[in-house]
Amino acid sequence: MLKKKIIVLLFSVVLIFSMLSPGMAAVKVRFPNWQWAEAGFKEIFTEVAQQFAKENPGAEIDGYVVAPSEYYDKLTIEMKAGNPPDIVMLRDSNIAQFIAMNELTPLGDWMKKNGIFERFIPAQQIVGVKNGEPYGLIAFTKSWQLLYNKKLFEEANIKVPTTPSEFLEAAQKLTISEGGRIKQYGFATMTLDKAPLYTYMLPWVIGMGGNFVKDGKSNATDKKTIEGVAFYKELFDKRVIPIGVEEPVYRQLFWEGKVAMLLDGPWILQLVEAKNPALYPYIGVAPLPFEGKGKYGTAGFNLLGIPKNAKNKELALKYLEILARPEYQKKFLEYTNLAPGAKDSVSAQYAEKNPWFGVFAKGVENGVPITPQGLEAYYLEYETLIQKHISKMLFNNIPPKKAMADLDKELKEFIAKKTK
Amino acid sequence: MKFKSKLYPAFLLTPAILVLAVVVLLPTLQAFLLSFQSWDFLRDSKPTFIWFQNYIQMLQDESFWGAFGRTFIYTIGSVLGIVGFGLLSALLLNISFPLRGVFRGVFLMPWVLPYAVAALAWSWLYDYQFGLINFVLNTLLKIPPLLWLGSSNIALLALMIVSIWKELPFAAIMLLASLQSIPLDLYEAGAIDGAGAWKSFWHITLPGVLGVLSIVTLLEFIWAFKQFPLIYIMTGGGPAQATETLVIQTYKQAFVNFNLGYASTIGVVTLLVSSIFAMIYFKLLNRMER
Repeated sequence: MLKKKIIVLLFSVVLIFSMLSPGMAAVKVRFPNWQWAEAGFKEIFTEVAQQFAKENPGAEIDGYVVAPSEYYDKLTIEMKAGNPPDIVMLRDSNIAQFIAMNELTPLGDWMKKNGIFERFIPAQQIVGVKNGEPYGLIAFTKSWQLLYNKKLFEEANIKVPTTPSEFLEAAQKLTISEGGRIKQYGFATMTLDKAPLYTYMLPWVIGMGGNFVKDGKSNATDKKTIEGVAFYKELFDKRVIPIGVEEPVYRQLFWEGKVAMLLDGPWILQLVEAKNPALYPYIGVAPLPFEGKGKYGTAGFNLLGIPKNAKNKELALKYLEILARPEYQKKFLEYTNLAPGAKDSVSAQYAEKNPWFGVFAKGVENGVPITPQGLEAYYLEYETLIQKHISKMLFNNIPPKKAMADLDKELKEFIAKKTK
Repeated sequence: MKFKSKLYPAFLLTPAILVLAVVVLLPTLQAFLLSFQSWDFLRDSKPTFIWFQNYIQMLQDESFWGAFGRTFIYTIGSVLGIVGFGLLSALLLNISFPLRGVFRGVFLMPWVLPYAVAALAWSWLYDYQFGLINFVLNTLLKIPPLLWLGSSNIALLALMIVSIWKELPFAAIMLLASLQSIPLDLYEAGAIDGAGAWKSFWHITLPGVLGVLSIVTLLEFIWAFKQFPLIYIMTGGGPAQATETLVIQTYKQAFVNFNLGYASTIGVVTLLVSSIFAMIYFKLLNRMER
C-alpha cells in the first residue's frame, strides 16, 4: 500500500514538473539567418547572443540556419501565416517589399532613443525607410569585387585583368583540363536558375554600361545590357566557370585553390582564412575589369528587422541594441571584414593592415544599387523574372538578343501591372 | 435489426470519412473555388472573383503547356521503366538462387528510403565536379563528364532514372507476389504442349500477373504524375524550366510568385487530368479482361 502511494506521489511530481516546464523554459527569441553557418558572422552573432542572455535572464537567442536561396520565400510564408521569427536579416533589395506588405515593425522611436541616427552612417536614414520611418537597422554594407588567387596568376604568368577581354583571356588561360576533366577553373559564379543569379550577373551588365531597368522602364533590349548578358554567356559557353553548382560549392572550389577568380564580397576572405589559412595571404582583391564607374560594380546593405507579428519584439530590440553598441560594431568589422552601420568603426590601422578593404569601400561608395528603380517593392518577383530569362539563355543556348527581347516583353507587362 | 446492421458499418466508418473530408475534400474544394479568384498573397488581404480568367490565362500560357508536356514525358518514361524493369526483376527474383531472401530484402531498400534522402544522395552522384557517376564514366569508359542536372537536354532523363530506381522495388515485389500465385501446373501443361519460354511468358505469366500489373501501373502513374520532392530537391524545376512539371509549376506560382488563384487553377487541372487518365485506364482494362 505504501509502495503504491509512493509511486503515485512520484508520478504526480513528474507530471506537475512536466506541465510547469514550458513556463520554466527560457524564452526563445527566433533569429533565422544563413550567416549562422558563415565564419565571422557566427562568432559575432553568438557573442552578442551571449551578452543578451547575461543581460536578460530567462531569455535566449534561438539562432538557426536557413539557406539563402530559401530564406525570403520561407520568411514571406511565415509572415503571412502570422508566425514570423523575431529578428530577420533583410537586404536593401527586398526590404521595400516587406515594408509594402506591412510586415515590419517601425524602428524610428527605438533608434531615436538609442542614438542610432547620430552614431550610424547617413544611409541609415535612407535605406529601408518609408515616409521617414526606418524599418531596418543597417547590419553591414557590401559590394562585390574581384577576388583572385595570386599564386595561380603567378604560376600562369598573367596579370590581373582590367578589361573584359583581358578577363576572358585570363579565365581561359587559368582553366586547366586533365584527362577530359576540368581540374581548375579561371572563374566561378552563379549559373543556377535561382537566387543569387541576378546579384552575380548584374555587375557584368552594369560594367558594360547597361541595366535591366532604367528610369522605371524596361531597358532589357539596350545595346549595353545585351553586351553585358552576352559576356556572361560567353563565360558560360567557354566553360571557364563551373556549371550548375550552388554558391557554397564554388566558394569551396575557390578556397581549395581550384578557382582562380571570384566575384564576391569581403566575407570570402573570412571563409578562406577559416578553411584554408595557407591560401589566405595569396588572395588579392581588385576592382571589376571595367573602366569608369563600371569597375565599382554593385553595392548594397544588409539590415536587421523585426516582423510586425513577432512574439518577442521587446527582447528582439534588446538584441539589436547590444549589436549596435560601439564595442560590438568594432568587433563586427574584425570578425566579418564588413563595414557595419556605425560610423568610425573602421580605424586607420585596420585599413592599413587590410588594403583590400579600400577596394570594397570604394565599391560601397560608388556602386549601383541592385534594386530596380521604381520597383523596389516588387524585388523578389523581379529577380525571379530576370533569372528565368538569363537561365534560359544560358542552358537553352538562346542568343542574348532574343533572350533580352523575350525578357523585355515580360518586363514591360510586369512593370505595367505593378505600377498601375 | 436489418436497418441497424446496415447503419453499423457506416457508423464505424464515419470518423475516417470525417478526417478524409477535412484533410482531402475540403482543401480540394477550396482550391477549386480559389481557381476562379485572383489573390496576390503579398498584397491583397482577400481574393477577388475573376471567374474563368485564370483558366483563359493558363490556356494562353506557353510555360503551362511546356510543363504539361514535360509532366507526361516524365510520367510515361518513369512508369514504363518501373513496370518494365519491375517485371524483369520479379521474374529474376522468382528464380531460386543462394541467399535469395537476403537479396530480396536488400533489393527493397531504395523504396524504403525517404524521397528527400534519395534526392540528396543522387544529386551528389550526378554532380558534375565530384559525382561518382561522372567519375566512373570518365575513368572507366573515357566518356567526358555529363552535366546531368544542369543540362536542359538530359536533366529530365536523369530524374526519370532516379524515379525508376526508387519505385522499381515496389513494382517488383508486388509482381513477385503475383507470380508466385500462378499455379505451376500451368507451366507444366504448357511445356507438355511444346510452349517455349516466350510463349509461356505471353500466355501464362502475363495473363497471370495482369491484374496486379494494372494496379501497379496505375499507382505508379499517379505517383509519378504528382511527384514533387524528387524534382524540387534535385533541380527545382530547372535548369531553365527543363524539369518544371505541373506540380512544380503549381508550387512556384503559389510560393514563389505568391499568385494563389493561378496556382490553384494549375492544381485543379492537374487533378482533373490525372483523374481522366485513371478512368480511361480502367475502361481499357475492363475491355481487355472481357
